[in-house]
Amino acid sequence: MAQFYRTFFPLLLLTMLAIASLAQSPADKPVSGTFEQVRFEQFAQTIEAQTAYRFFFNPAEVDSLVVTLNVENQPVRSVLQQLFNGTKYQYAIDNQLRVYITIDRVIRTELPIAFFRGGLPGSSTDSTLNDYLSQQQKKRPEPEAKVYEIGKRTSPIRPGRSTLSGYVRNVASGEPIVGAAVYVENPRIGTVSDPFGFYSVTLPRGKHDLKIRSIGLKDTRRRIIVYSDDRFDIEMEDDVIALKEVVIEAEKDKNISGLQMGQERIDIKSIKQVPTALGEADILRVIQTLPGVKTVGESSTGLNVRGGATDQNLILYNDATIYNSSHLFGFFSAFNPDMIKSAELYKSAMPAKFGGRLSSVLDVQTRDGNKKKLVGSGGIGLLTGRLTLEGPILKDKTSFIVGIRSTYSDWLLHQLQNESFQKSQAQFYDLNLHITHDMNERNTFYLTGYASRDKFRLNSDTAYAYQNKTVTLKWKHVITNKLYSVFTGTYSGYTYSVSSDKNPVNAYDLGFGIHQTQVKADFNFFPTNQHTVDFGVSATYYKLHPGTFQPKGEASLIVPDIVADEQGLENALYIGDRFDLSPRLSISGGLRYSLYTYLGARSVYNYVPGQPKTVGNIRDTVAYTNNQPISTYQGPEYRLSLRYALSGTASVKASFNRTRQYIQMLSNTTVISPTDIWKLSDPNIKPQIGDQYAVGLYKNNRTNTIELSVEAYYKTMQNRLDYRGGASLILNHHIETDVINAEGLAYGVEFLVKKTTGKLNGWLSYTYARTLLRTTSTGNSETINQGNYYPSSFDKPHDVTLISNYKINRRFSLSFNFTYSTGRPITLPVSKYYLDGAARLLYSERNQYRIPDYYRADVAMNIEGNHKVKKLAHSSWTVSVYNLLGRHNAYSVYFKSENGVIKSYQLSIFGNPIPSVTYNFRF
Amino acid sequence: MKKLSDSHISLFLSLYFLSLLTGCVDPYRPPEITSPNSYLVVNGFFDSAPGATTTISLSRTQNLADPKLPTAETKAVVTIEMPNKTAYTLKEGTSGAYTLTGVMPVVGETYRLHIKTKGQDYYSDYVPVVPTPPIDSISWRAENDGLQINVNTHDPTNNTHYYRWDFASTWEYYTLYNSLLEIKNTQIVDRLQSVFRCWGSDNSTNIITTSTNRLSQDVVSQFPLLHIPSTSIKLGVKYSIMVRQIGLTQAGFEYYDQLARITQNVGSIFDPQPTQITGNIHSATTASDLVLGFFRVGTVDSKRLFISRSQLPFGWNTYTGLGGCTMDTLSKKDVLDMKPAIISYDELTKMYFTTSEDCADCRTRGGVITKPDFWK
Repeated sequence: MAQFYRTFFPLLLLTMLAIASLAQSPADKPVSGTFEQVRFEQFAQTIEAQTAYRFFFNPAEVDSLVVTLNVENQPVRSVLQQLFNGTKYQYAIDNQLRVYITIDRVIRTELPIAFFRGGLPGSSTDSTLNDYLSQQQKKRPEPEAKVYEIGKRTSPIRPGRSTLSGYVRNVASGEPIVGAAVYVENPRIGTVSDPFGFYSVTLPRGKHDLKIRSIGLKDTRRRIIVYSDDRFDIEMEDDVIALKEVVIEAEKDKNISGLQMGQERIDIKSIKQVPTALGEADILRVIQTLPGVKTVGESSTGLNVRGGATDQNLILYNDATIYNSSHLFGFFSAFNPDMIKSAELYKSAMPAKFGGRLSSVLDVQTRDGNKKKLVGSGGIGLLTGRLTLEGPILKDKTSFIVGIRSTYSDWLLHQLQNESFQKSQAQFYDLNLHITHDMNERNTFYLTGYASRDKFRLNSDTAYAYQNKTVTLKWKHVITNKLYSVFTGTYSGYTYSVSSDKNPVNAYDLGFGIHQTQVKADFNFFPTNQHTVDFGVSATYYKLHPGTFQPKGEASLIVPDIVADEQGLENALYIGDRFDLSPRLSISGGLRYSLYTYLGARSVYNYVPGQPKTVGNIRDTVAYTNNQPISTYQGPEYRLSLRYALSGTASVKASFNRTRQYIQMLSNTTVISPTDIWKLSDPNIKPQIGDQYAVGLYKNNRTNTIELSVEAYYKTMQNRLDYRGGASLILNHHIETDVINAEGLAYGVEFLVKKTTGKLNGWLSYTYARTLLRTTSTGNSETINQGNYYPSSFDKPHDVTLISNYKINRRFSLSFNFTYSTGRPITLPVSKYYLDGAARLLYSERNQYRIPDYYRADVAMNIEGNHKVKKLAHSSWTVSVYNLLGRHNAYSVYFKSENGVIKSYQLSIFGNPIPSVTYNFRF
Repeated sequence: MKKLSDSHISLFLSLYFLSLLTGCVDPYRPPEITSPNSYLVVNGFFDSAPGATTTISLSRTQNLADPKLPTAETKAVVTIEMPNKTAYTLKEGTSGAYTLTGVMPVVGETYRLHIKTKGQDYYSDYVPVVPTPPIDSISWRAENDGLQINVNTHDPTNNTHYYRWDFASTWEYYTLYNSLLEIKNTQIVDRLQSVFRCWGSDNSTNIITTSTNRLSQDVVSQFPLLHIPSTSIKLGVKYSIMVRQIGLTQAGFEYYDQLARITQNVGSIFDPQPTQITGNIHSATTASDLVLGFFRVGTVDSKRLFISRSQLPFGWNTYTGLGGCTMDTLSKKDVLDMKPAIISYDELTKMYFTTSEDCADCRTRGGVITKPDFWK
């Protein structure tokens, strides 16, 4: 037999070579043609029509390949070279002019030289062969080609359905992938991975082609045979696409098919594209560009979501509440961009598992560290520097990510010649640590620690400092394929201090602190594909130190003043179910019941009923002992939403939700300031209750690249607080005498056009929204504007925002932002009078005028380093100009009596274009 | 390549920080605002010092753009009343001033103001008599490249707790050239009254208050009243300040404190929102008919301080604004044509030494040539 081969094959080879030499001339016939966004099949047909070449390929492999080429009288070989160079596609041409298109591996059209002479297969003279042979060892078994058996094999396959569940992870870093679509096409059944990357889907038993898609990752599929319930983990690869043009397809119709409304998910990629004032990617700035989210002023990171106040947002950082989300007067947000995976904002239809704030939930999640290897990243900007390290502790099991960010503004201030700058001080840092441990298939542990500190003094003797600290410990336990549980314990602490030591007689230290501890258990249950049930319990304990005022130094005559500590316990129980009644109609219902108790020890003032709460109307004081319940508030919170699909690309959604809030921030300045205090609901200050009705219409174009949506909402808020003129809130032992009960009303409509893929992406939104307040007390001293509705200080009816990014090529991208909004309401002086020798102003009723309209344009350019896979560090530059037009946007308007003459001024935070450069790196 | 010098870096940083931190302030032209109403404004207090005359002045609010002086409220009936129906009627003087002499309020009693004007009745709350403790001292020191003036006081009875101050500054200054001649009716004549030395003055416009409520003793130590830059003309020769101290009730303090907050500190990032502030005087019938001002009963204590140039640090230079002054020698005809300020006459050359008005007449910078009575 061997003898046969030895003689026959050389003969065959010789014959083939002869034919090849004969056929040489037509092969070189040049081709011409212009291909603009042409499918590969069409391209092949064109070439075939012009030449004798014939193409062989698997249509499934080239379905995403689009040809854009312009050739004129070029040989086919060079055309193919141009088309495929640098891509995963390989081509081979045999001597019969057959072109074979394959992925990764070149088809050998000839046997290697000396193949039959027992020559060494690994001989270095034939590199193609070496590649070919060695690739088989290098390459992991191709998961897409393999057939996986799910569950214990039975023969025959039993009828019915089984559930498979598991994690979707990134193959390179081991990080979970959130929001990956896992589905089969026939019948159409699918699900989306949750924030842990966990999915659970119930399929009819039998053979399936399971498809998995997620933005930024290579689409993949698994051939499976489902026998019974089992666990099935899926790994996905990063989409390091290098083709001239490839259309990425993912589950982009979430807008239409998802039940959630008033929800915005922002991943770090879009966060990094948006230009900011000081060049650093800032999650809160991007959130502020979304429809329905407003902010009072330029340097404020406070969010006003659909007419809500800045304290009505539950800002979670890996489940722990962040009480002050800004750094350095609000120029930076508290979140280090390198640590963040994504942020989700719920403006309406808040899921039942969230509670405790009226207007919105901003759920910020950190990345899990790389489970495979140690990598790092960082950046240096004009004011800040940051460094992040991540890697495995136990390979594939435990990983960590640690990040530090700090400013050197303090050092910069001292370099300045200006004396007042040298006397100033401004510094902050934040530290992050996140550890993930996969103990086994069923148990995963997460630990997050966060600490931040700010300190500043602006050419004065008063120094301010504040800090946030949070710790989260989370245990995820998969009970069955259809049920998993998450147990979470969190601690959030926020403290601030103000001190002055210029005059020893008056030197003081003023302190405030809030400590929140929470434990909760959440369960997710997937009984059938039609239902997704979640339920859980939580308990939150608050301890507030509302104010301590202490002498500083021995000469100080300050009398210590300590406002008694406050304690409260908030318990909640919830259940929610998402029910797909039909492919067209889904309902999600939830019920949350919260129970809040205000606890002693504390003395509580009782006021004469029906009279304004003033010091003069205090009737008596009741003292409560430690942990004695003082007052209890409780009530159900309803969450309901439904979706009806009008077609494959359009749907209507509606929702109603009620929320309750037992802790509020008190501030009589318009922006969040470092001296704002938080106050628990007590017998005199009732919890806030909010109701929101929302309806929306969603439409995608056919390819799901452009999303259109319109949402309208109507919202009422009970027990809002406003302040008496000149209220004093710090060190106030009876804050109820300085606040006024008000009710809020907000309504609006939000239009959004969004393009998520392609060279040009971004969004354009327009919002019309009103937010009004009305005092509810009847007492004369407790009404504002005679008890009529008046605009709240963040009522900005018109708002237009454009966020756009254009990728010039793989290395350069340009971003452009534009935002316009109506000026916020202010109270202006209407007349003047002379008192004690100077001109004074008489102000109008509250918020009856507006500052000039706001508009601003920003531009940024991202420059990526080269794309060599192996090099020391990957780097990128961000060059941006904030407020490109240099417009003096009024932050506030004020009137001042100067030497007896009244002058009016407007203050702008940024009066010039602010350029900045940031260098980012990864290693 | 040369390293960037420190000053370059510093300049760049300064510019960057300036644009970041200081923001910018522009004049703002508000929309046309006119108040629909003109409200009653009450100035003055019931003076409890022995033999003092109490003056209550009534006027009206004006539109912001109104350049005129406020209109006086005449033909009003102003009385000070006690809860026991005792009433003292004030006598109307000129331009809305109503006075009362010979009545001394009694410590421990309460009084209210009653105004009847244009058919409307206005009442203040009943207020107690608050005597003002004396000023212990007005102290000063060189600080922050200027003169810092502070006030010290205490109430041994620990009763006052709330203080307000206002002050009047007076300063002596000279112009550059002593003008001996002047032009009168196209004649050059000897100047009878020298315009070489003047006294300028101004009053505090800010509301200055403090509270000792958080201290264990009623002591005000080194409370800053004002800061004068070292280059100010006020410190060129001799400076004097008259500080008036007023003890307040808590309500009075809150009123002035709010008034100060909304008229002086608004506009910066962390300042409170302005609100409509009214004092302790109200309309008897219509709540929306506002009355502005605060009625109080008590005394005022005052103290004067002098500071001479020789007491101030040696290195301080006064910016006189007279650096550009030049002397010119002119004939009589030119003098009468051009009408400059004349310094003196040169017998030899028959020419006049002249200069510009600003350089020879101190009154051009707002002062008066009459020496104040208290000057020493």
